[in-house]
Amino acid sequence: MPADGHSSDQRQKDFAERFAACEAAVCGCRPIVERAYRELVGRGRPDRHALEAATVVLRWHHPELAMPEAEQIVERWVAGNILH
Amino acid sequence: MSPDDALPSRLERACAERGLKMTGQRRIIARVLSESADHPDVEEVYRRASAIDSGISLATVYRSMRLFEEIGIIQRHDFGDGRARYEEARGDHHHHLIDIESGEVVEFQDGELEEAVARIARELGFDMIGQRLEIFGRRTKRKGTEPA
Repeated sequence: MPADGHSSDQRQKDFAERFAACEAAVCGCRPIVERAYRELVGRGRPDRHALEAATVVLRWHHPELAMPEAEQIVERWVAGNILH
Repeated sequence: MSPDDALPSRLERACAERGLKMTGQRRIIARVLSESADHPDVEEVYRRASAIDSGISLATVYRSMRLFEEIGIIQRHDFGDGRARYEEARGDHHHHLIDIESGEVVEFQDGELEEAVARIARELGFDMIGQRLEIFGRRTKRKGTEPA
């Protein structure tokens, strides 16, 4: 068992639960995060900058999310808009 | 006339000012963008550039345009047709304020801020090649209302 008392399975489960809550937009933050991203890209900001800013917005609504988790969620939400 | 013989385009000069190494192909891509009066997407830039040098690949165009975008000399636009389109960056420099409660993005300019940032870089012994400022906040009053 790791020093923090949580197994990696438990951590994965916790993350999945938080992620599911955001995906379902229970708190209504998703359209806000997407709007911030969309408006920044529309004003000519590079994808990476817009993603970082949208992640800050998400983390204000969900301070419990760690940075990598928040980034993953935002990338997933705006994935259709990213230029590959 | 080869790309090396022609006078440098505005974008080439901007690249040089930012210390970006200019290969022949990068120079052609910069020239195509400088001479575009419209907002071409990457594929269109590739078509125009490969008409000048058939050795240019789409991957090179993508890489160069990402680089130009990152250093702020071209600007991406989204006109809602699902394609990213580009133009030379405007000379004026904008910053953004992001409303964390609505996601609204407010663009602003401030001459004093620009001067202050340039002064800070200079005092720290740097030639500034770019800057980025995003303010995150919440509205304290509705638009168009005066404080009590």
